[in-house]
Amino acid sequence: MLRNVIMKDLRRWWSDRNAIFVALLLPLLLTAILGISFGGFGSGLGISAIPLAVVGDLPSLPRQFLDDALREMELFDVTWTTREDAERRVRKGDMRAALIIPDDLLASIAEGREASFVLWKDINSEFKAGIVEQILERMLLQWRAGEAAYYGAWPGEWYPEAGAPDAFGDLFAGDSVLDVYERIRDGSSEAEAAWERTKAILDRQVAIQDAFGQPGIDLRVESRGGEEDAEGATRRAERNMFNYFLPGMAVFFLMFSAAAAGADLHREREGGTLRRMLVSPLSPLQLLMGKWSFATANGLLQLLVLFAAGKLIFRLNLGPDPLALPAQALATSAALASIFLVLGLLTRNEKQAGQIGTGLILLMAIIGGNFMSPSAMPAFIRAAARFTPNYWANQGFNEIVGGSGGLGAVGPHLAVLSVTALVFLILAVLLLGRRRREGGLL
Amino acid sequence: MTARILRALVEVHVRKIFADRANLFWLFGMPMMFSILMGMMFGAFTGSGRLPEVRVYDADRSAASAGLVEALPGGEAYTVTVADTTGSEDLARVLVADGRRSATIYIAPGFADSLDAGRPAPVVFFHDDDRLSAQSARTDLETAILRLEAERAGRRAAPDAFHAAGFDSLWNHPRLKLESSFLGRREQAELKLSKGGQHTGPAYTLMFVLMFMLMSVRDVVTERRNGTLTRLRLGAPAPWQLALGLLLGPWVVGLLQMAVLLLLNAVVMGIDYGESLASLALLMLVFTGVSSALALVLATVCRTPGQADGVGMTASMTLAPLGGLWWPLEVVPVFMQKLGLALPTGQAITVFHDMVGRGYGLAENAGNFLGLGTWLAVLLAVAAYRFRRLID
Repeated sequence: MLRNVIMKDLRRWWSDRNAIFVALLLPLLLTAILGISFGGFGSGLGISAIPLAVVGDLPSLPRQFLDDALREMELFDVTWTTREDAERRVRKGDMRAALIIPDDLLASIAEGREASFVLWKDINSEFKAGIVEQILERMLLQWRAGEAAYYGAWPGEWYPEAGAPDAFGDLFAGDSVLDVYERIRDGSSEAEAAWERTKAILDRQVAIQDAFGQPGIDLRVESRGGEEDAEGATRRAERNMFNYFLPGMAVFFLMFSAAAAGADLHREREGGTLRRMLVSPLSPLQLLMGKWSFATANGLLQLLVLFAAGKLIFRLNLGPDPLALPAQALATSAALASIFLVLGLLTRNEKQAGQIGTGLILLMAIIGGNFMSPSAMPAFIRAAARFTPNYWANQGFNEIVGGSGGLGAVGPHLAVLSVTALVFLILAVLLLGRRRREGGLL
Repeated sequence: MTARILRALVEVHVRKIFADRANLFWLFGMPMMFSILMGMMFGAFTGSGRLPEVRVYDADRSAASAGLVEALPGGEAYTVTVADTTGSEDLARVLVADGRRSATIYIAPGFADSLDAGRPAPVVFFHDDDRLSAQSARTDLETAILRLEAERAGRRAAPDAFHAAGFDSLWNHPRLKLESSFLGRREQAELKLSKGGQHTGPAYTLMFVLMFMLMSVRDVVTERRNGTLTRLRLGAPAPWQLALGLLLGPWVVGLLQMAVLLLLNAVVMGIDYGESLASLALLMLVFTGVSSALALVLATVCRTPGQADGVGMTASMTLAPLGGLWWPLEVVPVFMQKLGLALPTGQAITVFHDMVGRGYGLAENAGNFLGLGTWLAVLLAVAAYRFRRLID
């Protein structure tokens, strides 16, 4: 008898094309959008080259050096332009940032004066402009470290006193290395002296560089996922982003299916089929268990079909343990089936169940991490997340799909979900008894 | 006559929506909840006012290790706490793995001895790379280590003549600096997208307006199935009047919803929509119009209320992320940006961003308004054509 109730509901559910569309195709569609947006099959973050304007009147050699350095990072789309044009384009959003090189940069460096680079950032491009800022700050930090070490080591061999003649003279004037070479080869005594000084500086630079080559501190960086950072960047670039998005979307849409199954009691009551079933030998408790079993089996089927489709379409990682994923799917479906069955029994009609259910689902989805990892959220939301079933479902699936964990890795998640399923099922039985006593079931 | 019919149709729809108190939650409660919660996440807001703590386990307890810890500034992103116990590497790892700390630092015993002996001194940094505080702490730790390395390199290069005061002076007052600023409406960092829901407020307003409008698809389909649409047709002189009435009802509700939500966002999260009230008003008018026209088109396509729910939900859930309502479009690949900017959701959120950040008015937003206007015209034409075929 119970099997008949479950099979009838399953047949009814899977013959509804709209339900299949929302339960299966929509999560796959959203996974595709999210995955493609954030890098798809391991092409990093999928961020396009950052349009960067550079303004500065540098001689061609240092200009070429800077241009090459920026382009070699393969992060920037560099355009040399005027200050006015750079400002206009950053304000308009055509350029994400503009780097203004100080006019007297080389002279400032040679004479030991302070100089400031200016970075204009597009106000609507916090992310990409932020990347530019971080990279420039890192470059300047390296310069600062080298300069401080040099000065600490040879304080007497520093910049000329104010008003003293420039020790380099016009040795580096001109646009090519050839000019500099010719000046040294055929040069005057000034050129000879300037070259000697340059060699001394270069020798010290080499000494400093050698000294930096022997690291004093062995910094090991380990991220939450346990990746060693030496290889972490490569691994991140190889990540299949669909592994991270499909579980969240699958659980999100499973909640809608579970809510619809929970509200099915109202549908059957309003359609009169509940009355007919209750005059059969089927007891109300059996009917309730039938509805719960249907919702659990339906959820399990939905998740397994989604993960199988994910494997085919998105090359999803299903983990090393063949039991882990089905066990996690079963526990998730059972917990959500119990919760939404309780909601079905607490509400008065299908519309109310639908409205409250959808509100609850959206709230749980934000807090429980279906849209964004809970670790990126404020502390109080992270604490609240642990009280949502979808958090344990998402975390468990992420352990399997994202972290290649086995049954042992999802043990705590299975335990929490199973206890949730049991507690809410007992609550549903108690509520059913109350509604029967009050005559509200029919 | 026509005005009276239209007014009646609009009035019925508005009354029906506001008579159901649950609708008020969907119109205003849920969007505000989303705006605030997502704004908190997007802006790395801690909520409780307490900064995330970076825990340091110093198992060496030497002057050198203390010096390294002292070089971590903390500041706006995190606080540094040195544990009373020496802890262990495993404990530091577990604290981060369990989400109890965004980052931990473990300085192993023998740190100072290794430094003195010229061997690499071990330091382990555990972090949750999704957390802004962890990223800041990592940058600061790497800077502190670089300073130490620079000093050691200087000492190694000139063992007998190292000038510590000179080193400190140049490290603390570098000659080359970077001065960065945002170029926006008021050159204020407060207007950047992650501050105070500048992105999430308008984005979730647009998403829920669209979602609520597309939920009305079911109503039209139900009316058609119940036969009330045919009866209404008998009372209206032309199909277009009926179509216009069914379009204007949700349009008016959408306008009310959007106005209230934008006001609430301004009050609760202090969002400043810029100086152009005309742009704001036009955006509201055109976006709600596009949403209402889209709902009407979908209503003529769907055959059952269940189908209407599925199609409406699919449309709103795909138009929102594709158009950049879930995240700013700048983070997605170029072809996805182009696709997003061709959609009404992408055009509308871009107008919002440009009004808030750049202070754009009608003239500067003309391109996106033209795009939205085109969507409105096309959808209205399709709706009129489909509706006429459906009714006659």
